[in-house]
Amino acid sequence: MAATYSSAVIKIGDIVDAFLLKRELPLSRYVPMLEYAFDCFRAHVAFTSRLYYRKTMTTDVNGTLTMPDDMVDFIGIALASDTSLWYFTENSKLNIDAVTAVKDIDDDLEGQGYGGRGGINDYYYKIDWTGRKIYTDGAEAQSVMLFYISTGVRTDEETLVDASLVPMIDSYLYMRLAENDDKSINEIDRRRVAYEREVSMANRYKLPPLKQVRDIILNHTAQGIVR
Amino acid sequence: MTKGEMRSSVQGALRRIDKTAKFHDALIDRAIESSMNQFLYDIYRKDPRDLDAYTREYGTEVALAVTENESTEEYYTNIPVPYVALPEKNSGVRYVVGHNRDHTKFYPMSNREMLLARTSYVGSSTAEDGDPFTRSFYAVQGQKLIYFQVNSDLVSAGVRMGIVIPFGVYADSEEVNVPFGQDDKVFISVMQKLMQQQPVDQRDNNKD
Repeated sequence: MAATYSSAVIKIGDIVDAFLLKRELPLSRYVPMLEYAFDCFRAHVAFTSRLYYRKTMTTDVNGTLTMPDDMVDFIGIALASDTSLWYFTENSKLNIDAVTAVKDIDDDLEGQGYGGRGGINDYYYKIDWTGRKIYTDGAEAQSVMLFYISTGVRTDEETLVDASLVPMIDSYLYMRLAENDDKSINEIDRRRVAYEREVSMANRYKLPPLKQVRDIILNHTAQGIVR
Repeated sequence: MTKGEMRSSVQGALRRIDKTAKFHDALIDRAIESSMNQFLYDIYRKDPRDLDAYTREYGTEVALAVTENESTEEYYTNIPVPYVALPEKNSGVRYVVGHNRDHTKFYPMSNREMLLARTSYVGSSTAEDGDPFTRSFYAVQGQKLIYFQVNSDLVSAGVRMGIVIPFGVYADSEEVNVPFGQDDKVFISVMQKLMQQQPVDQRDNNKD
């Protein structure tokens, strides 16, 4: 029989199950520990590792997008039909009331052009965080690809967590457990240090391998380099 | 030792005013139960996992029904026997599993948590695609378990549950697990309770 291996992604509830098992805790601790696990995962995905999510959306007739509910930060937006993604340029001068389906920014008048290399970008965006809207110019009623930072917490099915994050979530739960159980300041601090070490380790796992770094550098340099 | 033997040994050790006066069985049972509960609580304080030896499963052969209260739209199961009250969310109900021991997991929660969970990640993010609520929760309310998140499979299959039962629930012929190494202490504790009373006042006129 062929060998089988455990999954590289784990349900967040199963991580809490395993935590209770390892720490010999009763099931009655599950509910608060699961809530803490969500806090830890959300904070890591949204603010520490900042793994991006991709979503294909369609702008309305005026080129406006409503942000996904889980969006906590913006990375970029590009036309979904492009084979090579050219991100829109942020334009803080974009007048969201004046730019409509029939009235676009005059691209030729937009300064030095995209990337400072003389090219003129046809597409712009402006973000309204309070209203949770992304206004675009040049991409009215089009399919666009939005890259953004998400909370990472699923509401349609159980949240799956990368196995490399399990030690970090474990140590976070252990730290919060000490607070819930009124442990001494020293003990809480000891567990906090352990947690911070695991955060550091989790981030190290996410560093790109050397070959990937080399490709990124070569991809951004002038064409003269022979690869 | 069976329940009947325990009761008889207490009865036999109590002093008698005359040949007919004796303590009523129910009074002795209550005294033993209260002493046993105290020792079960001590076990719980030391390590709740040790209560497994005093837990009896119900719903093994015939599932315990999961029923909907149509007015509140809550699902519940009647707890089939009295339980030893313990200072934990699940009290004397030590575990709940689907009757088929399927993959649904049950976690105890307090009534307060049940109110808060509806708007928390626990309540909104634990469903599984295509087969919602593989993680269910329950709160103990008197002689009922109230559920939070149950799926239709569970409702049709029913559940089984492990309960820490008090002395009074055992049949006379059943073996009773005396708390670990506490046989003498249980006996002495029971005797101390009963010795304070004059047996003539406790005469059972329906016997002898």
